[in-house]
Amino acid sequence: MASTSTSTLSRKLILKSSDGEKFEVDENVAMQSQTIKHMIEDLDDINSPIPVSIVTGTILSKVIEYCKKHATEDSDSDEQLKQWDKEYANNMDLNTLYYLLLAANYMEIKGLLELITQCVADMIKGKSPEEIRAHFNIKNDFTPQEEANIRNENPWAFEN
Amino acid sequence: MEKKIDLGMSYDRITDLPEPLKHHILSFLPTKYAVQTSILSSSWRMVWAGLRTLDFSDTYPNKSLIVEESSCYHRDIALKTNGETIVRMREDFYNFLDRAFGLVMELEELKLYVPNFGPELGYRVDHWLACAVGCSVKYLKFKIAKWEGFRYILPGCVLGANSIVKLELNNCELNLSSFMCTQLPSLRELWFDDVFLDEVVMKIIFGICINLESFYLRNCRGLTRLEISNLTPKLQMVDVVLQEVDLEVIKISLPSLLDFSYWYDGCLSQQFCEIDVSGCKNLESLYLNCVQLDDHDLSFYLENLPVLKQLCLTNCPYLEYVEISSERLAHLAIDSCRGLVKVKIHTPNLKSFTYWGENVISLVSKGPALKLEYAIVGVTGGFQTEKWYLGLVKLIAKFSHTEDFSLRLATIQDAVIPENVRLKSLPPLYGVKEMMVEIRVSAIHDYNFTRLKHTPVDLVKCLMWLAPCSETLRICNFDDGIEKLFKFTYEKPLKGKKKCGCWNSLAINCWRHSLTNVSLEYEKGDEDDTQLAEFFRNARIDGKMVDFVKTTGPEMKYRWIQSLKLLGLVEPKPALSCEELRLVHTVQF
Repeated sequence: MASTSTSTLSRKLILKSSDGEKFEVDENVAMQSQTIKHMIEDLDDINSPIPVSIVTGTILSKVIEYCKKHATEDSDSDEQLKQWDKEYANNMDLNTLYYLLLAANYMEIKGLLELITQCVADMIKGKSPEEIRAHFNIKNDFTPQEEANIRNENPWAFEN
Repeated sequence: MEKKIDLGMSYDRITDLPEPLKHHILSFLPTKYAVQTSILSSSWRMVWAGLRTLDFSDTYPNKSLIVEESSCYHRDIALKTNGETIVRMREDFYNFLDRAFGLVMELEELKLYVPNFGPELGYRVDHWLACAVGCSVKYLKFKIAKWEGFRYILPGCVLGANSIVKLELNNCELNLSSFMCTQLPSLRELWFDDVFLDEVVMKIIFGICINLESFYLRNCRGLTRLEISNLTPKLQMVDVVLQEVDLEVIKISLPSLLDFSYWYDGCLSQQFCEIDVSGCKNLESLYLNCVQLDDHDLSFYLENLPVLKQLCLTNCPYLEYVEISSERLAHLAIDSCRGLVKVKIHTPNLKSFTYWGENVISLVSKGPALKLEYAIVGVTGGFQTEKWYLGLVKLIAKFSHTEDFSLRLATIQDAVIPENVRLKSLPPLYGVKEMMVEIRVSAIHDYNFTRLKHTPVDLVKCLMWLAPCSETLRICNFDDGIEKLFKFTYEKPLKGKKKCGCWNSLAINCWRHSLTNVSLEYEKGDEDDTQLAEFFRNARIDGKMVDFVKTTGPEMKYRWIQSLKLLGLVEPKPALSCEELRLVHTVQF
């Protein structure tokens, strides 16, 4: 009989993505999102699916992966968790990072937001403007003259 | 043929991000890089201007152009070769600041380093600071260079800013004109680094910072006495680091103070800062380096600080016979106290003990055997006489019940306890499960380097005698990047079975009767350990074979960082990096 008492009594919630995919998650996993936390407070019936309207199923599953990892208070040290975060972020392509960033922002998951923004900042760091444009596919719509003018405004920032 | 459309990579997603997210990303970079993004495309033209954190502490166009006022020689060279460029670059940067502070509306954080200063620049710097304050900056870090004897005087607006929570000032002067208001209710954390001020000004500051929690002082000019009393009723931490003993007296009497740390970082001198914190009845952590503290002063402190949990005493040359009796004390560290002979402790709740010093001291502990979370003993001056070895064994035997034990010695010879000493004593560390030995001498000076790389069998043999039941043994010399880890597996002791009886009075099964596996991890894996393998394989007295496996271990874990942290008992000093801390200690050794 003792074995039944060890199971956690965490409630389950159902999250529904913008494209209709449903995910059943533990309450403590979902509650890392401030947005969902506030939604639950206003909800009468927690058994009905909670719409995460701007996030697709593919992205939502990645968000949940992150939240699950950070919800469990198991033996992972801070260092191991950092390592996990690093690998998690490094495995994403730019497109996914973009949608994850929007999702983290919308769902108000502070840790994920910090992780992705830091990851993008690291991509910018140490690159010349030309390299940044190439990396992120940014189209330069300045004429050479305009570009030269901007450089001349702030030469201290551009000279190495 | 149809071209495949690459949905993933060809879109410019980053430009599409909402502005606040772009700011969030750019806030991780020094502002120089954020300003560089203005050239990416027209949508990026002014993104940086919305940043709420501006970091100009490391934004100079060319690092070689940052010429610190302290190095006159380099300044002259740099000015001769690059004088015009430097002047032009700085002027560019200052013009940028003039414009930038006209654009910025709101600021969380500003780190500003102004690389030179002359009277003509003063009003502009005043203006930048005033703008930052006008933007309700919460964290302000400001550093300005001295130039030809001119000192920048902090304008009144900064110490009149209600919004500032954390303030760091470096190299400027505070005088009566620097005050505009009667209270700074938001300020929680204050750093003064090489700030010029006098007692009167200091007193006013404590008077207006009514909610101050932490105060850090890194050198000071013009201040000889630091007295803190009830003016700052919430102050919990005072941390002083000095390179010159300008400050003659520190006297703090505050019931709110939990943490006091004094670190003298300059050349050893006969001049000491007089410190009195005995009026801080709730002090939990006391860290003193280079103070004129004798045995009597220490007992006076301990009597007056009844809830002290952490005590760290380093370079206190007048300590000789230390007696510490404390219910609450959990962490005790004593480092490089040259005159120390004996330590007597009655500390039932002690969790860690650290001793580093030249001599083997005598340690007496009242009450039951010490069962600590960890202990570190470092003895740097090895005399290698029988008396010395006996003293060392006696000292470390006090930690026989401590599972995690680190020993730090100067040379391999210091660790190789001679046989006649071993015959006279019992293995001192029979309860230790994790043993670490660090040999300090650097390769450059010592032929032993090669010997440590090819770990000498007699060293391992002695260490196995010291800690005969240890599950791990780590041998390192961090200066040379050598860290070897032995892991031992033993036969499970059978219930009711007699112990091996190698040491009659100890109810333990020694390793020579129970060892089954040894694995050796070494990052480089390039050593010749055949002798060692031979030694372990045939180590069993009953003739059973022991498995010996060698693996290329993971990266070094740099446990010295950890042990320094332990020694410091607090986090490593923010003003000193770990590397610097290590240098400090290397010099001491």
